[in-house]
Amino acid sequence: MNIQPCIRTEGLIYRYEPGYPALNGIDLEIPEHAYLGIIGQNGSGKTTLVKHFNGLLKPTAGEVWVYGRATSSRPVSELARTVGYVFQNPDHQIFGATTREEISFGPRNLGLSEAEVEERTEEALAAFDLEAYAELPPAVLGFGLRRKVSVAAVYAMRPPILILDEPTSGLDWRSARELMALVDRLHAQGHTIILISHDMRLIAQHTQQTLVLQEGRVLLYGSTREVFQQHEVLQQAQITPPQINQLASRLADCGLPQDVLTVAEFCQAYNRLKEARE
Amino acid sequence: MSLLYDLYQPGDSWLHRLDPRVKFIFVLCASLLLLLMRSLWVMLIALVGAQLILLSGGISWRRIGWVWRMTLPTMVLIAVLWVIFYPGEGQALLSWRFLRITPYNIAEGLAVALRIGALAFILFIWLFSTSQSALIRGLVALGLPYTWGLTLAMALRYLPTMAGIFQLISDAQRARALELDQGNPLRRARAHLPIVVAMLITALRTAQNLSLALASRAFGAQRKRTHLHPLHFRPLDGLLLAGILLATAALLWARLALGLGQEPL
Ligand SMILES: Nc1ncnc2c1ncn2[C@@H]1O[C@H](COP(=O)(O)OP(=O)(O)O)[C@@H](O)[C@H]1O
Ligand SMILES: [Mg+2]
Repeated sequence: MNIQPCIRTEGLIYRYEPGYPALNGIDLEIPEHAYLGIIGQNGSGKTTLVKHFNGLLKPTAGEVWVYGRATSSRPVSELARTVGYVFQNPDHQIFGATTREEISFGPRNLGLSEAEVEERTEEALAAFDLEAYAELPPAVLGFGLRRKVSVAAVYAMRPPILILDEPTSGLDWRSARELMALVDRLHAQGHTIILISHDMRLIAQHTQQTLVLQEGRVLLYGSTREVFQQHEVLQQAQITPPQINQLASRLADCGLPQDVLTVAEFCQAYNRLKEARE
Repeated sequence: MSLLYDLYQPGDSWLHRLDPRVKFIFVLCASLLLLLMRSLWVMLIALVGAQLILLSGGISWRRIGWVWRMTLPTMVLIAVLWVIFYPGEGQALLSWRFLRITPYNIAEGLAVALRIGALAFILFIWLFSTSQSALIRGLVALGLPYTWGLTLAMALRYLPTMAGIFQLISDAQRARALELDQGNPLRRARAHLPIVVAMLITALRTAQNLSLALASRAFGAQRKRTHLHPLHFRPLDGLLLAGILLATAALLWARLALGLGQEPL
C-alpha cells in the first residue's frame, strides 16, 4: 500500500512488571483510513497495544509513531486530539450531570471556543441519536445507551483515529448492530477505525484489515479476508473463523470459495454455483 | 512505589500462629498505654520493641520500610511544629520573638512524633501477621456482629479492585484530554472531579450488584453461623494473653499512681 501509515510501531516491548512482557516486539504499520480489527485471546495484549497509540502507556523498549511523531515525549492530553479511545467499560468515563455535559467534556478539554464546543456537542448528540437523553444524567441510562454516550463523547473530539475496545460486549444484538452502523459511517467519513472484539462475525463483517495477537506478538496481520483463511495459524491462538467461513471451507469440494466472510458473500457464491450448474 | 493492597504477609512464625484475638487485645492495651504516657524513653522502647517483634515474626523489611515511609513525614512535621508552637519551660536554648526552644519541648515534640510511629507499628504487628479472614473471625469472636465483619472483609477485599478501577478511570478521562497535573493545586484538585464522580458511580453500582449477589446466594438466611476454620486458642495464647493483661494493669497502675512516663524526659 502506498498510503502513509498513521500509526507505526517498531520493536515495541512493554512490561507492566519485571518479568514476562505483555507486548513482546511489535512491528506494525497501520495505514491511514484503515478499518482494523484486533483479535486475540484474553490477555494477549490487545488493550496494552492500543493504549500505546494514545500515549496512555509508553514503550518499555522500541518506539510508537502517530502521524510520524513519536509518542514517548507527548502527553496524553495532546495525543487525545488525534487518537480517540473508547474504553471497554462506559462506566469508567461517565460522570456528567447530563448527557450533554458528558459529551462536551472532551471538546472543552481541547480548549475550543464555547461556540465550537456547543456545535460539536449538538452534532454528536444528533449523530448518535441521543437528543432525547441530552438532559438526563447518563449514569442512569441503560447499558446500551451508556455505551453510545461513551462513544459519542469521544467522537465529539473529532479525532482522525478512533479506537474502540470491545464496543459491543454486553450489548444486545440490536444495540450492537446500531452501534456498528455508526462506526461504519465514521469510517466512511474518513476516520481511521481500530476495533478490538471477540466477535469474529463482527470483525469479518466490518473490518478491512485484521491483526491477530498472541502472547504479546503479532501472529497474523493482513487483510481480513486473508487472515480468516489461515485456519491452522488461527487455531494456535484458539481463534475460530466466523461460522459462515467454516461452512464454506467444509464445502470446498462443492466448489465454494474459501475466503467467504459474510452470509451475503456465501449466498452470492452459492447462487453463482447454482447458475453454473443449471 | 506500589501500595500494599493486601497487608497480610503469609508466614508461619510464632507471630502468625498467635490467636488473632490475642494480637488484637495487645494492640488495644499497648495503644492505651502509649496514649497515656508522654515519655520520650517509653516511645523509643515501644518503637524499637515493635520493630523487634515484627522482625522476629518474619515480617519483611519491605513492609517495615513501607510503614516508615508512610509515617515519617507526619512524624517530622509534628516534631517541628510542636517545637515551634509549644514554648517549653526551663532554660531556653534559643529565644527569638515568639520562638523559645528548650530541651523540654524538643523532648516533648520528639515523644509526640515517635508516638505516632509506635502506634502505627503496633497496629501493623496485628495487620501484617493476620490474614484478612482470621482478622475478621477474630473480631467476630470478640463480639462484632457477623454482618459488620463481612462488610469489613469485603471493604478490604475491594481495595485492590477499587484501586485498579481508579487507575482505569483516570486513564479514561486522560484519554479525553483531561489534564491532571497542570496549574495550581486548586486547579489540579478540581481536575480530579470527573474521576471522583465516575468512581463514586462505579462504586455504588458495584455495591448494589454485590448486595444482590449476596442475597441471591441466601446470605442472612441462617442466623447462627459456623466456621470452616475455627480459631484455636492454644495454652500459649492464654499465657500470653494473661501476660499482656497483667503487664498492662501493672503499667497502668504505675502510670496513674506513680506517674511513670508522665514527663517527656
Ligand atoms: N495493569 C496491569 N498490571 C499488570 N499486568 C497487566 C495489567 N494490565 C494487563 N496486564 C497483563 O498484560 C497482559 C496483556 O493484557 P491486556 O492488554 O489487557 O490483554 P487483552 O486486552 O488482550 O485481554 C496480560 O497478561 C495481563 O495480565
Ligand atoms: Mg482488553
